[in-house]
Amino acid sequence: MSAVMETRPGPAYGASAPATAAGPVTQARVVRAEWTKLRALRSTWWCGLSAVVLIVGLGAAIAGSGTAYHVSAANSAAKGVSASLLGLLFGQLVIGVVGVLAFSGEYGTGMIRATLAVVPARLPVLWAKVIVLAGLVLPATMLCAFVDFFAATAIVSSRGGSAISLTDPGVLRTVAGSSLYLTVVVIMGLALGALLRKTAAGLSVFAAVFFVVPIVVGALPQKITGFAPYLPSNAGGALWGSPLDTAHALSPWTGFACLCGYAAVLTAAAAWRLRRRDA
Amino acid sequence: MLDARSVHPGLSARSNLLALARTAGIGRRRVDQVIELAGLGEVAGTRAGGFSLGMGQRLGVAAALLGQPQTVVLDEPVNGLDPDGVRWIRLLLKSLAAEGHTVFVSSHLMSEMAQTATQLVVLGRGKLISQTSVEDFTGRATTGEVLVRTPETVRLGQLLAAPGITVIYDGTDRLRVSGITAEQIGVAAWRARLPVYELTPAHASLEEAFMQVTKDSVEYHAGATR
Repeated sequence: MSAVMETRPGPAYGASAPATAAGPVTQARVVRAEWTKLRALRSTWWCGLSAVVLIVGLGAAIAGSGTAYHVSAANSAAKGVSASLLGLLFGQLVIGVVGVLAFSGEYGTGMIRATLAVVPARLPVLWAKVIVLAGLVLPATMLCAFVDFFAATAIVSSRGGSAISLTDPGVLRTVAGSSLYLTVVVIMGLALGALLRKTAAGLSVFAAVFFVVPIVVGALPQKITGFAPYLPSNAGGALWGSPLDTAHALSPWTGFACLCGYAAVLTAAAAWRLRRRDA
Repeated sequence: MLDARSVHPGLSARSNLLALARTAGIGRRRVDQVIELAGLGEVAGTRAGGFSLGMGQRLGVAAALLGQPQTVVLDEPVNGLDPDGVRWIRLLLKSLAAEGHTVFVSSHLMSEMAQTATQLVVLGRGKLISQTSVEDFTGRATTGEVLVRTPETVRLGQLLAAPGITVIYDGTDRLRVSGITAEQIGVAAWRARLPVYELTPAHASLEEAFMQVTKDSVEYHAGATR
């Protein structure tokens, strides 16, 4: 503050102003800004920690309890790995929270005004958040999924079960797919946050789509639930063999493509609202 | 200036500023500079949610200065500031102007503007009412009153009495005369051989001048530039 207090005897008011320090706003710079925000927020790290505990911890607990898993014609190796990834069902909620908050948090606190004031084009903010969240969630959950896989298989084989390896059919797809699934989930959460702008609304819709609807639909008679495999969580679940899977699941990559389609539509709607509606 | 409420309460002052700085490719050093400039050095690492109104205002000013803008536009910058903060803003604005920045401030606080501004822009109902220097503005809107100090208040008062001229006695050795210039009073007193100790045309304060100029505008707004 001392620098300000001494009013320099400076020249007349007509003196030429010093050059500004601000450079042009680029997509890369907006990405750095978004990374700064995401990294500095406590909620990001609490949610991240919860997701790790849920995915790895629950996976190990499942592998350690119950009968040791044996691979047979009826029990594929991939199915065993899917079971150890059950924690994903809860982890996805935490991941969704991070996604929703990334946008609704800005609207809730008013920071969005500052954010959009420095990025008047607006859309770069959405792309930057997509890049930053995907860039954080993909490697983090990939690491979690592999740690979970190695921990769970080690526990199962030490208790006399079958040794499952990454080269068994569908195993690598299941492990890596769980991470891809969560990455698309965080983008859907982000799009919901941007679209609905309220944290409560975003989280409610997210929880309804990923938790409530699949369970309700599962309880309904098969005749009227032909659409069940196309629900986002079921379609995406096909990739990592979600235990909530229905009888007529889509093939893994078709299901994942379907999930990506939902994410693309939601993100497009979010982009439209961000661009067209006052913040 | 960015709205003082446009900060994320969960982020520290430094993180809030750094996020904005990154967008324009501004480095950490400049962020630390504006934090010092705003006097937020001790609380830079604490979450902005716990800030008082005044601290939030300082953070807003810090954000506005991040890019070293050639023109600084501040909307009611002293709102919610304590006396020390008000003084800080005043000195900050003056030093920015001395460095060659254009500082544009909108405010309803006339006394504060009278101390800070050099140029005034007065707006009323969305229309430009006046654009001039502070001295011109107050000078033009003189009250037309002349303060006279004399031991002979009653005699001088009677001497000046005429239609259109008001003389107000306040019981001391002072008279407030309007409707006649200081020169005319001086000449009249000299002719009547009455002693006069003081003869001062009263200048309106910025506030009074402002009220005079804007009395036709119901919704008005004052801005002051430097």
